Amino acid sequence: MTREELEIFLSQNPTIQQAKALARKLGLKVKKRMKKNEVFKLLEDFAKSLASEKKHEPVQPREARENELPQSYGSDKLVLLSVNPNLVYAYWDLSDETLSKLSRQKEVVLRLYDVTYVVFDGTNAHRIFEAGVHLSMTRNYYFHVPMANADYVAELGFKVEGNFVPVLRSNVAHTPSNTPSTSVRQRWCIKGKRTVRVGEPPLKPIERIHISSQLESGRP
Amino acid sequence: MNGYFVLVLHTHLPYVNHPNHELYLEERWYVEAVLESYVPLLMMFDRLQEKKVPFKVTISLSPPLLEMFRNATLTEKVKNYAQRLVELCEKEMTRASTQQERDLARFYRERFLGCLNYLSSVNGNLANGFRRHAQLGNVQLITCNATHGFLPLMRHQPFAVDAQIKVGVETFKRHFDFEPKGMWLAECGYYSGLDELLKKYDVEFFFVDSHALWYADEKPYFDVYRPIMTPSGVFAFARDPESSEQVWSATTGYPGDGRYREFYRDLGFDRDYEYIKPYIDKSGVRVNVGVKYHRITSRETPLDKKELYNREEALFAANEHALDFLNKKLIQINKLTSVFNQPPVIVAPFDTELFGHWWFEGPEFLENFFIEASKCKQIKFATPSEIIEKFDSFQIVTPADSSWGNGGYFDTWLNGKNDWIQLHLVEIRDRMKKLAETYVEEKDLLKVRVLNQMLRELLLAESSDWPFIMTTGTNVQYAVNRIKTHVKRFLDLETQLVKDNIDGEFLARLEQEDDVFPWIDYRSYAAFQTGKEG
Repeated sequence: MTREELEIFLSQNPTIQQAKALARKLGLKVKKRMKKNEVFKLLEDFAKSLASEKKHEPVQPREARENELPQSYGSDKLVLLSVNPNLVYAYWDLSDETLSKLSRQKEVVLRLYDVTYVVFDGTNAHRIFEAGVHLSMTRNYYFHVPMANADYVAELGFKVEGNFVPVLRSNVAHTPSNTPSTSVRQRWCIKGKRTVRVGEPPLKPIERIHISSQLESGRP
Repeated sequence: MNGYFVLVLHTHLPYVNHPNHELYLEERWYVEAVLESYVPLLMMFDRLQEKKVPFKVTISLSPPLLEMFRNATLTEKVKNYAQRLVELCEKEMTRASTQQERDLARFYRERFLGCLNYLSSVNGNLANGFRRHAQLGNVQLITCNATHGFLPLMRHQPFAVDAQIKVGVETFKRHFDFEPKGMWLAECGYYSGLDELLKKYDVEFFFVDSHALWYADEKPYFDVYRPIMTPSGVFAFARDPESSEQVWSATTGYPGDGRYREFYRDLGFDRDYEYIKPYIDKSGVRVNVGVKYHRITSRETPLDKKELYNREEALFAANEHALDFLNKKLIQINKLTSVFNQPPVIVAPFDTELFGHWWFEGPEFLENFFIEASKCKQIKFATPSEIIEKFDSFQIVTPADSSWGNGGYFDTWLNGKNDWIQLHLVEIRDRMKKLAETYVEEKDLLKVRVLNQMLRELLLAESSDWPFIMTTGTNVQYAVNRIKTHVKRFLDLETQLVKDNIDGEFLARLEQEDDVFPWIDYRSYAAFQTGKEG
């Protein structure tokens, strides 16, 4: 039975007896006291575990198939891009050599350093964040970062007896600012001459704020 | 006089050119924009000029769009399509059962004929229409970065940003024979330091969203109501949030008025299949054909219950809204003048396609707005260059990294739906740079052509439209294919170049299909001296 067939069966709202019978046939553990929705849940979960036919289905136009791009360029790059004040994106593209080197390690990790106003030498970051990486499962990460208007650098490497050994380092990514400056300095160019004043502007901006209703923000 | 108003129309479509096919589904984006927005707006400018109404508009024309304007095959497709619509309207006139329907069919017929006339009056190239109003002083034309690439996501490859800006300036010069003073940065995407590259190419001003100034390194004294100067001496104009809100707002915005034309009710879906088949997509898929008989009626009215469109009532609404908008601007100017004791500068940027395509009566709204405002002394239209001339004090700030996209940052162009493109874009940029350096002395004309075409493919892949479409979720397959196609073509050309096994026919086909920037020189990708990293 395919996933689609099972989904169709469930969508036809079968009786509890029919559902239980099918579940038994499929070798699922059905308990006598199970309610209808519990049996349905059991079948739904089983459906999810089945391979979908759909994947093979829509025959891609010839041109599209010809256009398949390489999965990797073997370029040994770690690239870090900021998305918004609190999110940065890192992806890596490894050479076979680096991949096999890292694959031999038990603990592969990605580190993120806050290097704002720092000439980074590997040891002088303000803060260090770390996440474990499954190289076989992922090639990119989104990091939620605490500081807007800050500079971040990432390193991909591994840990041996608690020590971090970096293998690749990324470029610096700057997170955008999301608050008005606290400075009261004003630099001016008046008739071509540059001068400095001090003071607050007469207007306060009305900033946008995100509103989410309870429905959107997630149920308990 | 106590306030300036800077209206900016950002005009861009991704480059879509399939010369070896009949009208392609995605080529309709261009056809619709020409027939519904660009020509109606240019005709409106002509009317204002005739009536001697003073007006000023800043118009950015993106390089891909300029390249489509000059593309004779595309122009033929637009003309053919308009002619077929004229024919459809004639069928409609005999088919109509009521006078009101017949009048609507006649209205559209005349409208399409007017478009055709206009197109021949500018020799099929709309750039001529824009140039005319630039020469008359009504319009300040500015450029846009090369293929509308989203620059904040390229900042770690400054040579790529450099090429986007250089090609943007150069394309404009080639089309208009004068230098663009300003540049519209795709999606208002800005990052600190970008101003230095703009300066390098003599770009004097650009535009940012409001929060680029609110969150700048120092607080802007005039809020968003006076351009600022960046440390490198380039001016940044920030968007007035009120003007956009008044036009756009889902609840109170003008385009939602019940008297305006309903966009989603179209003959392409209304008529019998066999009858409408010659006018919809060649695959037989129903699409909008651009003849729409209904009005919005009310937002709650289901599509099949919409009432028939009444042109007079719609024009009346456009006039009413123009007066309302003018009134709101005057109140705003008074308020701001009393706060600052100096004339405020209100900057209102819009996507050009809002006027005419999405909001059918948009051009008439603007027309009425200009006519009514010309009777007022308190509001004066100005171009950015005029504003820079008029004031003699500017605050120096570094705007915050930002965009005008959803959320105000880069999320729209980098998220789980489109992040896979980065691997390829970053890689082919690095390869392009390396090859440009390796082959910098190349004399073999065939190899030079290959390298130039590789740069074209790279630039076309960088267009912000593709990741945008993947995020919004309509036409995703086309956007995915376009990125893959350009990257694949780049890689294939690279292999042929390196193996010295160039397929001349393949190259010629790419040059014909991806026919942008014929003058481009790949060596410019090598010439860039890597500056400090972002």
